[in-house]
Amino acid sequence: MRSQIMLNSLKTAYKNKLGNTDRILFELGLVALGIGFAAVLLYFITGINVLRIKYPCAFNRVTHLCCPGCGGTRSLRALLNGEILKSIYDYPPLLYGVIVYVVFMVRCFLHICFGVKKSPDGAVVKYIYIFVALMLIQWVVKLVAQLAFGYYWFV
Amino acid sequence: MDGFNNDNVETVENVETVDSNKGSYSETTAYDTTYASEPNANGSKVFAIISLVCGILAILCMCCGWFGIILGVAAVVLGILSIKKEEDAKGMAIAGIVCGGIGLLVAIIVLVTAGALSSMDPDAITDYVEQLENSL
Repeated sequence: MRSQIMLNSLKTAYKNKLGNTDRILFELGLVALGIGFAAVLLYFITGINVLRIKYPCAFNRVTHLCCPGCGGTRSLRALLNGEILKSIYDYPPLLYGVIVYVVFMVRCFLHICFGVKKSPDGAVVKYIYIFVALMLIQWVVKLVAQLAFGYYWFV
Repeated sequence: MDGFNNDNVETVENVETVDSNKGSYSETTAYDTTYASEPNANGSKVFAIISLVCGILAILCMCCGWFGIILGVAAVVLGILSIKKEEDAKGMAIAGIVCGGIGLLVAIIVLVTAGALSSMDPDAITDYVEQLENSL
């Protein structure tokens, strides 16, 4: 009975404390966290490491150029191994995205549970725009390096 | 009773009795119809946010062929719905449409080019499928 009351008050606090935009983004963040946990569980149960799956990039096979997502998996693997510089070299927006994601989720969680002050509703959206801009800029840089200078980012 | 003055009492004749139920029902339906067609003004931006997220994923997954196309279409459709129904979310909706459009366009170009290349070199597609199967 007491746990049910606590659960209901937590649900009410969750609905009332977060704005519409932040609540949707927080829920999407929880889904992403769930996918991450599922991947970790898959590794421990079956031994399959999803980061080791080398999915051939159709864009690269057809055009022999980097796609906007090229290097993402390599960068994530490097980040999980503690190689920050290699992670930034392979895919710069990933570290930025991870930092924004962690800060946003932690601040929302603290705001819901302990009432800690957070930024206004929807303030995180500009950081998402910066992520998109970084993604497109690094794609252009890689294309220019490959086409103009013959430098292949991933040998 | 002595102070009661009959001159101040007005007699009301021919009062029109309004069928309040009928009147209020028609007013309610007219109000509801108008309200339903107006954009969502309570700040909800569900379509815009999901459009933006689908657009970002469409750009990241444009190399995955059909997956990029599906995400791109979802981003564009949700972005258009958001512009029509959500007043406060036009910026996010436009960003979602642009990102989804880029992902969709590139994914279609990749698929068309792959189809054209496969007709010239059938072994290329076989090699790609083998590599895909080996990776999984």
